[in-house]
Amino acid sequence: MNEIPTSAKPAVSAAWLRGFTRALPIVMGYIPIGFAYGVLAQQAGLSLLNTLAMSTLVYAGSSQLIAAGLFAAAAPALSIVATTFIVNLRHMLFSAALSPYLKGWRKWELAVFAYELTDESFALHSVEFPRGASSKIEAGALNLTAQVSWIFGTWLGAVVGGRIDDVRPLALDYTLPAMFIVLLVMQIKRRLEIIIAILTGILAAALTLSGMGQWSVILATLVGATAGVALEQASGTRAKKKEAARKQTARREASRRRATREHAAQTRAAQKRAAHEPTAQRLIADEQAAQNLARRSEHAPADPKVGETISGPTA
Amino acid sequence: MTDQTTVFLTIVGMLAVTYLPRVLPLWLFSSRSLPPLVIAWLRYVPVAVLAAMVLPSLVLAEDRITLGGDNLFFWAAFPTFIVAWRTKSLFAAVLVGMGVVAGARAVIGIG
Repeated sequence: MNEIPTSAKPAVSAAWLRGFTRALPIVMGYIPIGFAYGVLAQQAGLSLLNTLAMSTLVYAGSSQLIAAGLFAAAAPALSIVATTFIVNLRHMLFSAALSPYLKGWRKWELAVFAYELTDESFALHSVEFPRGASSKIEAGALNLTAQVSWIFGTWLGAVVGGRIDDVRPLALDYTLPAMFIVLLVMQIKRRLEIIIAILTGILAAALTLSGMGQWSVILATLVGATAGVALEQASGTRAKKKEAARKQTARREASRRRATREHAAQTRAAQKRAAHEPTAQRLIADEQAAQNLARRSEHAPADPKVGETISGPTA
Repeated sequence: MTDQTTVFLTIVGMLAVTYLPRVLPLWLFSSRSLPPLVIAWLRYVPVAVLAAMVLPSLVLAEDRITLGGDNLFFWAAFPTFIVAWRTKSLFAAVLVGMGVVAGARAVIGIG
């Protein structure tokens, strides 16, 4: 903290506050779910220390709940680790998807950030990073707040366990589903994204129904994102063609309009000339007359009428 | 069981297999510029992955499609969705969703 100049301190604490505030919907969801995990882990025979260690070291909700069940069933360690690997493999997609926004980060900063990357924090970051509004400190504060609430919920469940067992009257079990709905809505900015969301959602449901279990989210996402790019490329080519056609029409239209305008201008000019014609002709006629007069006047003294005739129409 | 040392070592194993997929793509990809096609693909991942997590959680219960009146999470998704769409406020929409669920449980006693 010593290297942070005094003037930057308010900005830093404001970023902390923003990160903390943004994490609150996660907190509302994590405390009850962490609680549920804490209760289950105790029932599975994990010590308080190990129960908390899992929330601190693994920090991945669904895999922890599954692991608690497997510990209770005395499953072998290797199968618990393998299951965890499959359940948590989707984080790879989160990590990859956020990587374009974290270009300036140092390796250790990425390491810290990645440690606390969950479904929920990813959902928030994936809305916030593209807006370019989230700083390292804000992102870190969000992640830290979320994990602390997860550990707190775990501790609460493990210690006071059986005494509070129903979070349903407060609908705390709907916090995270609701949050995912909202963040999905916030992700959608184009019509193609609506199509991809519906497609991927239905595919994931179908894969789950056909027994793909933990793979269904990953598989559906791979297919959905690929379909998105494919449709984008296809519609991009179409749009480019359309754009070219539009430009050509516009060019033709413009040149047609220009021609009309020029024609109109020419007509107007012609009319104007026609209107002035008599004057011009008179002028020419007058000039000739004047020349004739002048020629004549070479032999005769100046006629005052000649000057009048010449200056008359010119004035 | 439960030998707490074995449990702890298992947890460390879980840490390794969870952390590597979390950190490796960030380390590998954030330091280089990716081809535009990959970037375009990655841009669809959030929409796709959120949809893949949300929709099954709303329409499936015990590996069955359930859209009946007792699937409170599914029906509460509509007001949540509308408020999210209109207000773009995470808090407002989440509170409305929770309010609908809590209200339905208190008044009708479903879900």
